[in-house]
Amino acid sequence: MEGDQELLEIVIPLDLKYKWSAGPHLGTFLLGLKAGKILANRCPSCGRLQLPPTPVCGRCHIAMGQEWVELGHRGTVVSYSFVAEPMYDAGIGDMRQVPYTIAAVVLDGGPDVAFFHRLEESDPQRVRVGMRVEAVFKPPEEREASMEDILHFRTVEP
Amino acid sequence: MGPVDRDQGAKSMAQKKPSHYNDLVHVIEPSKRFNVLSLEPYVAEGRLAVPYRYFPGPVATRFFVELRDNKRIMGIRCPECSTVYVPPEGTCGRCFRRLEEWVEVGREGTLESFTVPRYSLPIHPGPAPVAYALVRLDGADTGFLHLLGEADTKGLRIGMRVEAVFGEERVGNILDIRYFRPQGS
Repeated sequence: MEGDQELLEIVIPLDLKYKWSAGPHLGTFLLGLKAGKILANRCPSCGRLQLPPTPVCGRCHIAMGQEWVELGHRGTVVSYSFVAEPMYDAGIGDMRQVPYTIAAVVLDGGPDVAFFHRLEESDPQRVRVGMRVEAVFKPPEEREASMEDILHFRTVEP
Repeated sequence: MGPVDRDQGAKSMAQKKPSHYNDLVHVIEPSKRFNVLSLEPYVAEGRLAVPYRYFPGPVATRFFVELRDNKRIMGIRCPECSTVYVPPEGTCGRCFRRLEEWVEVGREGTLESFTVPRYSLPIHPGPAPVAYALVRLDGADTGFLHLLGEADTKGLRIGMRVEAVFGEERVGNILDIRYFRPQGS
């Protein structure tokens, strides 16, 4: 091509909404979040909890049965990651706000499973394994039966 | 394995844990246990927003600039096999020669094929029915995909004559041609 080339830009505005069937177990869990509850189900054989709930026990590989447990909103941080690198999130159509901390929280009442979510605390100096946190739910009218119905876990005094 | 005593599992776990755990674990009473499979299936909604932009290259850029600035539709001809590509390509698909000879093609052409989805989807450029068209313009040897407008979607015929309808505002992409309109309509 001769001369100065104009740098034309083709914009493809791809924004797709989709629907997916959560199934009876995950569906019950998501509706539980909307109701402000954190639900797990218990294996009829080994007594282990699954969080989020599943149809089959991860250890025994048998059907989970009908035993459900409502867990407390408080728990203990057993692991965490501090994220400083911004990342595009297709679920929100924007870059994620950084820095943020994600943690594995063992909730009271569910000693052998961990719940993964964000911590309110984004200063790595103030996060410790073993610290006590509490789930902060969005107001009921803002909940949409998703993991985002929990805004984050805030630090509480032990 | 024999029948399993479910409560035994819960009791033994409670015995191993500090006593305050008993206050926190709300085991749903047997009378309130429910069969999850009897529940209505729950359908969740998700979103996948991945907009992107790209530079289409020097050949496509010239094609779009001519649409935008001059309402001209340009093709490119192969010196070896004389195929005129619309939209233009950089390399001949048959001869693999670099293409450099630009030709203007008409704003009228023939409907080579069409498809009319009669259901609406977000990915379609408008509400149903949408008429997708394969148009071969006069002077071109290839057809290209576009839309039909101002058309009776039940009266389309392969071989119909169509003409390009440009938009008043053009930005330099394929929709600077808003659609092709059947001639004589």
